[in-house]
Amino acid sequence: MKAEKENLKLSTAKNKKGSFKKVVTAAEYQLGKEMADAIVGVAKELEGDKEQIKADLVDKVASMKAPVAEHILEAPVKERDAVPKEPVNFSDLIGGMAVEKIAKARPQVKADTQYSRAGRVRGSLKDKVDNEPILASRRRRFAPDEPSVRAGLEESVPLGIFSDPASLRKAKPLLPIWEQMHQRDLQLAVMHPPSNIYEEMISWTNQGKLWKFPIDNEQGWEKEQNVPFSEHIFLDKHLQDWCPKKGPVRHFMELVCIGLSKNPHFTVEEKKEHILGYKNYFAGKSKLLKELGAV
Amino acid sequence: MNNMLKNTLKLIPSTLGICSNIMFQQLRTRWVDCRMIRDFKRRKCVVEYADERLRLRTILKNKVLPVAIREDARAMIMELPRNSHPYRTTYRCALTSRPRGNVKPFRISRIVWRDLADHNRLSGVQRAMW
Repeated sequence: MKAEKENLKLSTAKNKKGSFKKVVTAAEYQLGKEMADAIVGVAKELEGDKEQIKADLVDKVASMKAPVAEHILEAPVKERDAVPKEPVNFSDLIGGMAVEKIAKARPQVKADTQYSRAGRVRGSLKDKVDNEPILASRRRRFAPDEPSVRAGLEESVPLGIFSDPASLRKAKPLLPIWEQMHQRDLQLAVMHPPSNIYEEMISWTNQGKLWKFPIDNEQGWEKEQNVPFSEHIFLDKHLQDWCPKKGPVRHFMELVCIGLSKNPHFTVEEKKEHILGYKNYFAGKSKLLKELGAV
Repeated sequence: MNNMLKNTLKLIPSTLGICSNIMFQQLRTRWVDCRMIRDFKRRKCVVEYADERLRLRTILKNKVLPVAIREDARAMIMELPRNSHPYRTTYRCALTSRPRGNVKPFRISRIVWRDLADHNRLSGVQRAMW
């Protein structure tokens, strides 16, 4: 490890006092100590030319990192961590690597496509074609599996679940609440909350919470607006068909009509229904009424 | 309010070994308790049979029709379901389901009424001072 690290060193330096300063390797300077250690570890794991692997890794990682700003590069470094001031021959020490690429910003797109999963797959497939030896583990990891069953859309007999598949496209989706909420969203997008009390009171009036001016006692009772008062009061016509002309039943029904005519709360339909209800009741009791002699 | 909390705590199965203090929030559904639900069902029944009941009552209480008819109407009205009788409904508090001590125009109990009035939530209600 130590020997390998030495290859990455810039130089060994001695200060005036004769002790070794802390030496910074090229990788550490570019990428940080942790990354450099990681690279060394990875190179150790893999077989092949370790120097080349290390160089490639440093190159690739450096290209992915953001370019270091000029002012940071030129900033005065602390004496403890200072790089030696002697002119350093990079090309000699780091065999063939282009260290000046720190300043250049590699286009991100290339890195993404090259080192994405798809890129790796393509690369491994290309390797396969070139007949280069690939580790079994690597092959398993990167090469895509062959599909075991080939699926065809029109090969087997249809199940016949849908009688008319063409109509499905026209059919409305069964999401009524979704539609309601969508409409509500659209309305809310256009509306804004009241900015002052006047607008608030206007909205209340429109909702029916406040009286409208000029005050109309029949506000909110629009149902019976168009019905003339004569229909409320003159209810004898509903008795014409069925009610006997004399007797207790007639007497009773006339009282009912007087009562209903004085009632302002019922609608005309409701009054008619009441009279019909009595008609049905007396029709059901006709036998009893005949016995009593009331009819 | 306490009843509600107890009811909600009962929902948590103790077999799971979870601490039953999980639900600290009050569970606010439409109905405060079962008594309220029962009262609502009675009211629904009252509405359903209201017209029929009204007609039979008028026949019962009038003095014009012969007695036999009135007796017959009485028998019919007693055959109607018990919950159709409006007398069986209670004017409970809408927020706490309290059966007694309610302020009718507001449909809430006197305690809730007082609380809301003190916090200025009741329109036109002010502390009496004279």
